[in-house]
This record gives sequence, structure tokens and C-alpha cells, in this order.
Amino acid sequence: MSTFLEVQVPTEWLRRARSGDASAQRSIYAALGRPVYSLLRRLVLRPAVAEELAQEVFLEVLRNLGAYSGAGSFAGWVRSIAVSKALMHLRSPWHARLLPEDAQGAIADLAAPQSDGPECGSDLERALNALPDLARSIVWLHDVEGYTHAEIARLHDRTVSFSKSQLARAHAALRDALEPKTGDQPCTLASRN
Amino acid sequence: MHARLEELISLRDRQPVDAASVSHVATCPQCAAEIRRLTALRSELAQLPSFAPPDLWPLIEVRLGAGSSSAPRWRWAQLTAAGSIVALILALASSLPQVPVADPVVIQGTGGQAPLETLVARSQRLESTLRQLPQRPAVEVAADSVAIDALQSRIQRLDVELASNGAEESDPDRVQDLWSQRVSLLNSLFGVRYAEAVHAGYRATREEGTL
Repeated sequence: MSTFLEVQVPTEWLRRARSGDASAQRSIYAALGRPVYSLLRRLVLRPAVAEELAQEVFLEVLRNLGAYSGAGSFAGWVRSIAVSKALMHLRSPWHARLLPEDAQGAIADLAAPQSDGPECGSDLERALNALPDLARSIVWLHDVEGYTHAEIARLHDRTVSFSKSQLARAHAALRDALEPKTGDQPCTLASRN
Repeated sequence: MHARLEELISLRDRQPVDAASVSHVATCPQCAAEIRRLTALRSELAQLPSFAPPDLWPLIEVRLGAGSSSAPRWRWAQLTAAGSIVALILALASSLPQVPVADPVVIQGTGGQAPLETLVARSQRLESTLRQLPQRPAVEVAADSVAIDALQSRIQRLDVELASNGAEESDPDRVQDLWSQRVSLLNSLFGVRYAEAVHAGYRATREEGTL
């Protein structure tokens, strides 16, 4: 489940932050810095890019607090901005030409996340990180952040069918990466997209 | 015939699928096991550890201040910029006919002969540096705005062309040329934006002095 859903930002912080109160702005960053950064790391992989995008997210959030209508959770609004920034980056031409050594460094770095959380899923992390950007983003947004296929389709300016088929392809790749090859083929292999 | 993976994921997520697939899965141990595996995988993904971010607040605070005319840090930057405006103007006046505007902060050259990886890295650094500049002044100089708009439009057109040339089978020389143009345009954009920011700081300081 998305960690964003656990974050509650008091409306008093928002009111004070809108009026330029630096301590309230900092409190908002403190509450949401980790979920934003973690989400960005999952989507863009590279720590340096995630740091830069996290700054962009909070600049946009704090400069546009008035645009938050109050409908839905504030953390969810912040998450939507973070997702948008990450996908814009992944679509950018310079990301498509990412230096190979940078990409390898990012993936190697991800093998040992800077986390105080439980040590788990290293094979899964490697398999997830090895997915293409689009596939990884769809898996993460759908399976972890709880985005619907319709929402993912809108984000990518594609159809719901596209989102569903990409998710299935990504799960097929994850299965291949995580499960040893045996003679007993999984039931869906023959009909894989 | 077994259910497709897409259908199994829909069943896992309690999304509608066709009746035939539902009937099959209800009696197929393999498909049922696959749904259980997909469910477990979703839980494992959600339990992956989060990442502790570095303390980005000082940087965010500075950049927030740069966008606010009342922020003391930007006021200090304006004063500093005003101090260097005369030197900058003199440097530009003496060098314009012979050499491109020198980037006083980070960028050297336009990279016309550089390898593709170098051009991409330069482009990334220039983008990052541009983002560090303060927001454009509320009162714009028309000539600056025209130049900035023109440069940004050309960069956007290049991005479109780069996106359409992203396939591996595209002409490498053409791609390199496009990236070279992009670096050159970003370099120019940085020069204009930097000069504009310095000038805005100088104007603000001069206005303060007349109050």
C-alpha cells in the first residue's frame, strides 16, 4: 500500500504555509519528504535525479498551495505532482540517452537502499529495477500506489487496454526473473502477450 | 485453455473479466495458484523498503526564497549580482564580436565535436543549472523575453525531433547533430537568463538606493 496514504498533514500547517510560514513549509517537507523521494527513486532509479525531482516537487507544492482544493488528501495531491514530474523526466529525450555508466550506478545503488526499513526483497528489487521504465512505472503505480488503469492511461496519454497489457507484460518479466526455469511451465506462458 | 495473465491480474484486483475466464479459474488449480502468486508479489512490492532522502530542505528553502521578492537570501544574491554587473557588461562589450558569451558559472563551449554521451551530459548539466536560476523577474525586458521565447521554442522543436530519432536505427550523425544544437541553444538560453537575472538584481538594488 502506498506510504502516502499514511501521511496526515494538518490543515493548520497548510494555512500557515500558504501565508509563507517557513516552519510550516518545513513541516510539510518533513512529513512528505520520504514518501516523495522513495516514490521518485522507484520510478526514476537514479538517486541524483530523484533528489532533483524531489526539489522540483516541493517547490511546486509550496508555491501552489492555493491550488490544493481540499478535495482528497493533501498527500495524494503531492503524490500526483511527484508522479507527473517523474513521468515527464522518463519521457524526456536526455533520459532516453542516459549514460550507461550512470544507469548501472543507479541500479547498483538500488541494490542497497538507504533505508531503515526491513531488509527484504533484494531479488525482487533487482527484477523490478531491470524492467523498462514504462513497465516499472506501471507496476509501481498500479500494484503499490493503487492507481487504476484509467488513471495510468491518462498519465501516459494511452488507453486502458495499453495499461493492462503493459502491466501483464511487466508481470511476465518479473515472473521470469524471479522464478527458476523448470519443465513445469506456468499456465499463462503460452498465452503471454 | 488457461486464462491470460492480464485476466488473472484483473481477477486478483477484483476487476471484471469475461465469464468464461471466471469459470475456468474456479476449476483450474494452476490459474488459482498464479493468482495467489500475483497477490503475494503485490504484497512484497508494497513491503519493499523506502528510501531515506538526503536533507533537501536547505536547497528547497533557498530556491523558494529565490522565487520570492521579499526573501532575504535572494536580496543578498541581488546585491552580489549588482556588484558584478559592471564587470559583466564590460566583458560582454569587449568579447561579443570574437567569441560566444562565456558562461560565468559552469559551461564551456558548445560541444560541436564532442561524443554523444558528452553532449547529453552537458545538456543535463545545463538543464540543472538553468533550474538553479531565480524565477524570471515580474517586470520583463521585452528583448530578453523575445530571445528566451525563441530559444525555448527551438529547444522544444529539437526535443520533438530527438524523440522521433530515438530509435536505435536512427542516423547517429543526425542524432549527434541534434544534441549538439541542443547544447548550443541551452548555452545561449543560460547566457540570456543569467544576464537577465543579474540585471534584475541590479535594477532592484538601484531602486532601493533611490528610496
